[in-house]
Amino acid sequence: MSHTAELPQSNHLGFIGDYFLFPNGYKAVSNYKKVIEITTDENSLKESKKIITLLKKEVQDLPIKKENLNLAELAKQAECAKNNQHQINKMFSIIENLFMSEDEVKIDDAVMLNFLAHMKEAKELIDYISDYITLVFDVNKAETDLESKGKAYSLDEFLEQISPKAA
Amino acid sequence: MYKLFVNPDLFEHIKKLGEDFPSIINKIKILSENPNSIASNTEMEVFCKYYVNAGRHAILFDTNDSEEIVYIKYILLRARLYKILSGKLKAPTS
Repeated sequence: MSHTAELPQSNHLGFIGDYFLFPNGYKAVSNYKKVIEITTDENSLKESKKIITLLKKEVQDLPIKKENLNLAELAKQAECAKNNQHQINKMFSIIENLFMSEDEVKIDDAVMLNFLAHMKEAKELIDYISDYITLVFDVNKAETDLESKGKAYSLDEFLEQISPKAA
Repeated sequence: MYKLFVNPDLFEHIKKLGEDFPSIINKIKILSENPNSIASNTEMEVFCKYYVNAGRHAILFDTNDSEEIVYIKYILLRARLYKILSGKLKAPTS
């Protein structure tokens, strides 16, 4: 399995924090206009640190405040988090404090948390972190034109399309 | 019953969230039945008039009672909504 990080250029659009899992690799959306494809050894923290360094270079700086974050500590915790609910809960607290303690969070740290969570396949963490990251950009996007793009559903239609089980 | 008005991006977001957070879907069901029974005022109408907590998240919405429509505008984590409502974070404006 290749350990090198490849950085193809692409015009794919996505939100920072969106990750797409492919066999033997991950695509990380580092800014709105570029997709970075990374091949990695999932079990190698050393490799993931190398990739994090590369990711750091590619993530666009946003005008938000710095947050001190002990990534090495979190990497250790992420490593344990996969099958350990207690560790997952601990990560949740750290991340929640991270987002609550400052007005904004340094986005490349948040991206890296997401990346680490994906690396360790900690699904709950992935969902939790991705939710925070995606929503930062949803809230700060320009308001979309609801009336021209939206659609009115009856409850039954809504539930049927959201999830046939919920209907 | 009120109709639910959602834009496609948010619809997909709700679909994804609903798999892991059924409380969101449950609250949307109540919104359709009687949104005024569970609406809390944001006091920030330029952002969104009402919200309702749904587990870890908050659903932000406006209503048109005469036409019986609920406009679902955002689903936010409650921590983030708190920051917006307390002025620590800037809210998006229409």
